[in-house]
Amino acid sequence: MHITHKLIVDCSNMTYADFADKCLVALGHSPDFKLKADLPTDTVHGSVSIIHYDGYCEVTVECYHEHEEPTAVMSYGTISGRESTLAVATNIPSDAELIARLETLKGVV
Amino acid sequence: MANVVLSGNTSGAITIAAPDVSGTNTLTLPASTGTLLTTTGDGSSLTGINPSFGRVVRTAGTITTTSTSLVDVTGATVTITTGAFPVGYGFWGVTMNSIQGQRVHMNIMVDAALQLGTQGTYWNQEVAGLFTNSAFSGQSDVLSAGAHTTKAQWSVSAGTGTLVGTSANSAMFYAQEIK
Repeated sequence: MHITHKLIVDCSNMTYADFADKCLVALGHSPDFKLKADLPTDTVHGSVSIIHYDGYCEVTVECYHEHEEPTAVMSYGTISGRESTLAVATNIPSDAELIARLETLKGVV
Repeated sequence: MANVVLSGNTSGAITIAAPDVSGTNTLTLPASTGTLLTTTGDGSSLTGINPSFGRVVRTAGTITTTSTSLVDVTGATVTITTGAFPVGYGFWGVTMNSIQGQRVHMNIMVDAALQLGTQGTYWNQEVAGLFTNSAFSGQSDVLSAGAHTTKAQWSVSAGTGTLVGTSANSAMFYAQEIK
């Protein structure tokens, strides 16, 4: 599932990564709904991609609907493939809920 | 006289014809022995010799991702129609990972085939907060004649990856037929 939501907020006073973290928190990023890996071997339930335009952002949330094991392969000392596990969250928020959560950033950021 | 007719020694004739409206032009023959090429003969490769190409320059809209599996770099897609030739591709941009020691991976997909392995080339965040030049280029295998889509993809090992796309620090992606 992908949802893309245009969010008009002023995020000019922070780094791109910091604003991405704000979005993650608003979306409910937690061990049960993990949208960003802290380590390559983490289990994640989705991802967030953001286009940071001047004055607004376009946030795309992907929630994984299939379990996928890591595809890591060690070749000549270099890791290739993906080391994380893609898992299905127990309770995936609805599109409307995710959008509502993003909207809470208005007036906060 | 509109035509010059050269009769064959045994039979037939070759007619050199001028256009009805010819202007004032001179066709100079080489001062050496040789054979003229035609578009239906040995000179067929002389038609359509300009290669196909395309590029995307990202000037407004830095992008971030937390995806640990490859996702499209927004807008970095070029579709060109090629002959039976390879496609050369290149990417230029500056990237960063929010976690020191983690990586930003980049890869190229031509049609459905990843070009740089299952993960791709990558840059390790050696110093926290430091943007890194993430430029690379490559070449596909020989493709079949027809339309082909080349796109850039990226992912992170962990953390948040940033690819800068501003008027000051643009990101560029290109693909061009090699012939």
